Amino acid sequence: MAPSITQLETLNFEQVRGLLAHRFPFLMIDRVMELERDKRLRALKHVTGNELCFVGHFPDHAIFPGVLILEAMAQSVSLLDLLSGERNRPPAKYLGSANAKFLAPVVPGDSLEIEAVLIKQAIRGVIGSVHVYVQGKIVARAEIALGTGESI
Amino acid sequence: MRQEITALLKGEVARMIEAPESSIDDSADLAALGMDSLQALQLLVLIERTYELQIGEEELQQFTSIGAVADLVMSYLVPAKA
Repeated sequence: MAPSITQLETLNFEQVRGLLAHRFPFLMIDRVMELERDKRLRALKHVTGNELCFVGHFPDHAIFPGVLILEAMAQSVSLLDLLSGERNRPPAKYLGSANAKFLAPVVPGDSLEIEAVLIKQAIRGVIGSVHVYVQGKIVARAEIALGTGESI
Repeated sequence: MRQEITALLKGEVARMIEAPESSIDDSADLAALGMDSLQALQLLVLIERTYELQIGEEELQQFTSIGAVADLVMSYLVPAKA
């Protein structure tokens, strides 16, 4: 008997927008290509020359800012958190800490493949590990802690 | 063993709250020192990785002082003696 193939969940842009509170120009996830609830997701962010940030970063040499790559990573963890567990609490969308490395520049035309893995979920927040690739080459990685905004 | 755990915890808490280790007492209230719930969660993950443990989030309630966390870790590592 052939082994069964599990079809992984996917999310389109409208579904992502329905989950995250972020809006233009700060919604940094275009699509979720693979989702394993409670474990990991693989998301996509297309970087185009029309991004608002390129007006100033930089006028003569467009580089997608590292802080926005970090934002994309944080949103992927927030999304994975929302889609995992059964806890009824506010979404974890406030960045508490990020241990990040940026390894290669991202420019218009690049597509960020964002792989987020859930490390720990709790009532007040979530910790995730994220790697970002462009055409198979790693461009950034981070361990990110997001809080719900409620105190201890 | 407990001394080693306490040293690890104190170093990490000092780094998180940006205070010298010498200023942190083992019995000091972590919340009063300025540690928040997200940092407590990060401390829990550090413990899990260092000692290859799985600790439930409900144990975060025990994260009241370095001494209390050290006791908790010991109870996982040496359950019979806890």
